[in-house]
Amino acid sequence: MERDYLLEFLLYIGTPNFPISLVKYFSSLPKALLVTLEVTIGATIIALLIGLLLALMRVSKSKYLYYPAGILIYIGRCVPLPPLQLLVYLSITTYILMEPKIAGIIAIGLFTIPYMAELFRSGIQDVSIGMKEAGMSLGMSKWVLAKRIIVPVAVRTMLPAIGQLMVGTMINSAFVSQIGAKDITGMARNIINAFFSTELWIVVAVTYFLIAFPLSRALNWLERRIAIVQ
Amino acid sequence: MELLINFWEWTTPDMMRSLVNVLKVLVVCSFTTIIWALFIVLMRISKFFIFRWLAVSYIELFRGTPLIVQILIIFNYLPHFGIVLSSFQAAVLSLTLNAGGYLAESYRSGFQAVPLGQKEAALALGMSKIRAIIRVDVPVAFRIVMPAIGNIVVSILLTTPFIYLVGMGDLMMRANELMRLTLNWSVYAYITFIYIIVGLILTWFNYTLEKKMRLP
Repeated sequence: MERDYLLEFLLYIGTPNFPISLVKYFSSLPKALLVTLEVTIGATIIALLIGLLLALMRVSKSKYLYYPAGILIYIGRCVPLPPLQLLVYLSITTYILMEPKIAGIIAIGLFTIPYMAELFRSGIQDVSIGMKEAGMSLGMSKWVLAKRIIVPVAVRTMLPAIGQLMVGTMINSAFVSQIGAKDITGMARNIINAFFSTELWIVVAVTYFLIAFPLSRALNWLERRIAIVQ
Repeated sequence: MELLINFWEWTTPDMMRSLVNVLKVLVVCSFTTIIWALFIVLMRISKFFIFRWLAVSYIELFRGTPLIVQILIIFNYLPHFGIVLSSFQAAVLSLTLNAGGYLAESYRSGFQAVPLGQKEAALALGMSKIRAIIRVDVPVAFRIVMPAIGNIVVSILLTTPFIYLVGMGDLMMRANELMRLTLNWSVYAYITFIYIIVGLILTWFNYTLEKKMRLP
């Protein structure tokens, strides 16, 4: 009898259900990928808006602004994601019905805020004093200085770092599967629970890696490319 | 106010036992991560291409995949090959592998910051290369990367709630049980509160240590 080497190999690395669960996985991957991207982008937008606000408070001169912002950032960096996400999801759904995906966006956005705020702060403060003084000595007002010098320079240094944080957010967004959102991990978990094919987790890891690795390499390249020699 | 009363009610011996479990994992994990990352970074800066390549692919692999998937692979897939880990071992292994990749990168920048003259002096005194690394590079780099180690301990603390996936009796698992029993979501607020306190203590400790160990 002819030996089927492919089948033998698949049986060696996995359970008999592995091929069929693989087919299921790849057929539902586009939809799940969309959910992952939605969560990533939504969370990043929340983090960008509130993080920018906190960073501006942090660099302001009034102590009524920078102390509260500093305390919030310090506390926020000690909050772990799993309890925060369940807290957000359960406390909101107690009062209004809400998709788990939306709750996941809010939770991961909240989780990312302090890191984003620190990034903005370091970006704003890293603009060298010489450049600011040059602008001031040319008679620029505070707003013109911000518009013409601080924002363009800070954006250039911050952009790659924000991209890296976004890749990190995508990696973190796998956790929304625990409240029932159908992102890549959630979808794979349903398939694995149905077919008992645990080796699919390897495929899931490879999927995430194939998204995250090229992005982070491209961002590294971008960082070297647009770096400002101060 | 209701929330505060709930907080007092959640503080039971059982909850404290789970907190101790979390701290146990944190302490063990911190030590294993510090050693494991040192091993990785020595591979990363070695002269042999194959070691460098292995270290780089390890770092990228573990930074590019979600922790939850790593934990599930370690706990659910490895038994397929006959590697059965207890929940404590699986928790420590997964958190160490995950944090090791991050810490190795911090170590690398620390090693690069060691002044070249000191190493050359050691070599000129007739130390072998490995001895020079152990006696000169590591102690100087250790002081430089001290803040990074503190940060990684805090970030390991932030990843410990994930180990409820392997069934350690940790805070998150206890919270899930209580949530099922009482249907009261304030238990998660309580857990978050405990984590914030532990995290702030670690951050403060890290800050004072950093101030003390700063290179002159």
